[in-house]
Amino acid sequence: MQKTLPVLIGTIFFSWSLISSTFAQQLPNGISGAFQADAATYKPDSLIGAPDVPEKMGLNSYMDLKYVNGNFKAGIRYEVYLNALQGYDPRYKGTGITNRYASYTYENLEITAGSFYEQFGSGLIFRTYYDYDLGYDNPMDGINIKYNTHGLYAKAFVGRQRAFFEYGPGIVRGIDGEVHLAEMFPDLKWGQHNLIIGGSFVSKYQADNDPIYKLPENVGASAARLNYTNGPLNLFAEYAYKINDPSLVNGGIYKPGQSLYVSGTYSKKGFGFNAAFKRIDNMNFRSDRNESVNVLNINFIPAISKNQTYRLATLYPYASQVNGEIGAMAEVFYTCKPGSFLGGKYGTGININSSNIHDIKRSYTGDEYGYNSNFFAIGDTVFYQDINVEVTKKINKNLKVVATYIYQTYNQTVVEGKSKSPLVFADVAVLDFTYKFSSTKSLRMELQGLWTKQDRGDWVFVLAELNVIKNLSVVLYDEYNYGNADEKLQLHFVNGGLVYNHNATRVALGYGKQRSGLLCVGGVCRLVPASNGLTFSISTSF
Amino acid sequence: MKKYVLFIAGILVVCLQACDIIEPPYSETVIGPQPGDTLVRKVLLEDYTGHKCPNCPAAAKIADTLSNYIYKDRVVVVGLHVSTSFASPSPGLFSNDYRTTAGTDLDNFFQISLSGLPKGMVNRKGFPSQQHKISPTAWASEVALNLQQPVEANIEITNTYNAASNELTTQLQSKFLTDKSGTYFLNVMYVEDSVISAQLYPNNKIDTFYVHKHLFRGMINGTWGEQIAVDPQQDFISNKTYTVTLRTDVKPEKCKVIAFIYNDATKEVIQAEETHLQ
Repeated sequence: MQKTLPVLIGTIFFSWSLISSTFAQQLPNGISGAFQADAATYKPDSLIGAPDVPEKMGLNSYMDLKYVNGNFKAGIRYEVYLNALQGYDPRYKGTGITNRYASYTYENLEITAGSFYEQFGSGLIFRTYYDYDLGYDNPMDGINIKYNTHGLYAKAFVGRQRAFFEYGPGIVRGIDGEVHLAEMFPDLKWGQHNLIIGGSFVSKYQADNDPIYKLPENVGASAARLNYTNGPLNLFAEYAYKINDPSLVNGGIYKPGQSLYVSGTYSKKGFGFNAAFKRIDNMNFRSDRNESVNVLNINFIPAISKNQTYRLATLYPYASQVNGEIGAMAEVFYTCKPGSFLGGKYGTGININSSNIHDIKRSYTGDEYGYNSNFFAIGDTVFYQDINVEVTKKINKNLKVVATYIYQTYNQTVVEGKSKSPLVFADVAVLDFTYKFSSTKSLRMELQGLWTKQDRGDWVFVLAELNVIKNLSVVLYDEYNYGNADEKLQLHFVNGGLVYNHNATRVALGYGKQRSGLLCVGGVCRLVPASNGLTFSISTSF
Repeated sequence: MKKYVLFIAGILVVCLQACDIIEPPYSETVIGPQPGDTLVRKVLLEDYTGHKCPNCPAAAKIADTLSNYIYKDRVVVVGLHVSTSFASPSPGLFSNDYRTTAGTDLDNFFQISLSGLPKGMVNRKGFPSQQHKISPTAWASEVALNLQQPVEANIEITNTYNAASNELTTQLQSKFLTDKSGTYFLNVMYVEDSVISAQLYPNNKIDTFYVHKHLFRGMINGTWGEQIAVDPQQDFISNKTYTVTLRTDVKPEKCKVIAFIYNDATKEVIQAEETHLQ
């Protein structure tokens, strides 16, 4: 339950950082790796909706190994799902090597054969990545080539995508070019200014065996982007277009897709400002037109809503809508200096963040084309809105407090696919206290409340995390749905656990009940069903 | 600069060659079944659906197109309303409960609605490797692939309906046309067409007079049917007769009896047949 820094700065900067790290840094020679295993036992509980799991236990695990020797590197990942934990796609079943590659760098040329992760721009037409917790893994398996010279950075690949322990039916081809003007024309006086111009094209091939419709076997998507930086200022914009791509997710329509993502950030010591805008229109892009959810995605829609970390604030998370959404966010960070009226003795951190996301406006054509849409028109349907105010205050040398207030408007029908469900309007308040007894001993407490008249009603959450023995934490929390309109469902979800940390190794043991909900990271979500039982986790890296 | 121009030209060439822009009409020119073939492979398409599933009407349209316009009687469709989220009744327009005990048993066994609806099975092929859960946009191509398989069995259905007692007697003759290994079951059910009631569409739109076709009403010989053969030889014949009292909320003139033979180990259906009840 560690409170993490707001991720939006990362969201806005990630494209730039990826662009900057296009070519692999020199890694130390030798073998490195990571290992993680998560196990859970399941007891049925009809009240909370925990199903009767025949195998009574689930296990997800992986081990990554990487070997580096000069310009050569190679890696392998072994994964285990015996059986997959509840909430993961059941097609994750069994064991096997799911990722293996070899890569060689010669001067400005890098060639990778095997599995690889790659991203073009902000990901609007191409991004592959691995998120163990989400059960999200869509690497390419094929050839990836990168080359740079005098400010020109180029990438090209051809491959198939991983789908569980097999490959998807499509073949994906992509090419990306980027010009760093300050690097290409160093004689011009750029100062702190830099301008990067980029463009990319991705195409997927999937055979058309459909006897009803003429399906495009080759679906191309292209994107153009600009990135301007000047000291603390970073502006980024990317526009993408995809040709007709009837699919399961878009309801089989032939309308082309397009998207626009614009972000800006300004930061200096004690002050930061971020803003972002996105418009997504029919941008589902997969190497299998018949897949859905988190399977075989070729592209990625950047998230602009705040990635919540406090437990009750995660009850209504937002998932990016590939079929269409238009929204904007703005965020301000300000640190009141120590000694000022608001800063007090130790200073005060203030973070205000708000996002507003709607459906796009559509006029339906009544045929397979689908609809027409005015590019900047905002649809009537609200998908998600939130306002977040967070104040971080060190009271004295022992006590630190984080106070958060959140107001959310959440469309259950769109985000969770619940039929005929009303919009949820929720107020969330959080108080997070950390009291340090000494440099190694502390007590952390969270008091959270969520109030809404819709869905499951009001909740309260209390957590205590005690760190009094070296490397060992004891955690106990209760999530209580006291405001459920159905009195039988006014339930406590009590959990307790031990966490042991030593260097890069973490071992956790827990027991309790978990409510159902969505786990979302960066706008990509996975359904987490209700469960009741023991959990065990171990992770390490070397 | 010359190499940059070449690079950009190369990109344009790749882009232009890797796009298939489809202009209307988007439909293929349909070639239906050829006359003259009496013993043909037929395919069972199970459409897992729900009256509160907004994307299910589009799936039903695909199933109906396959069975009524393209492959006609070579595709046998059954629509099973399953799950609490998408098929449970609620006061008002959605007060009907089209779920059935057998439908729920099948859904639990094949774990279809767990993956979200609409989903379906084509001849139940792909079980248990999880490949049996097929999205509607893939039904047509899966049906086409299955229809290319040789015909391995034939089913003849003869129905007798007694209106006074509301009893249906169905006689089934199953004949294997080739040697097969394994244990085979015969499963018999009845479906009802043209049931009119509300259906949810995307954006919370409701069609109050939606026509539910191929609506699964119940099994005639149990959820998993009855064993008819073990390692059958070519020309092996099984005769079965079942008598069942129909539900009182169905219109017999709109009902059909569906029968299919499947391999007990793989659950794969090797032949299906349907005949009007009256």
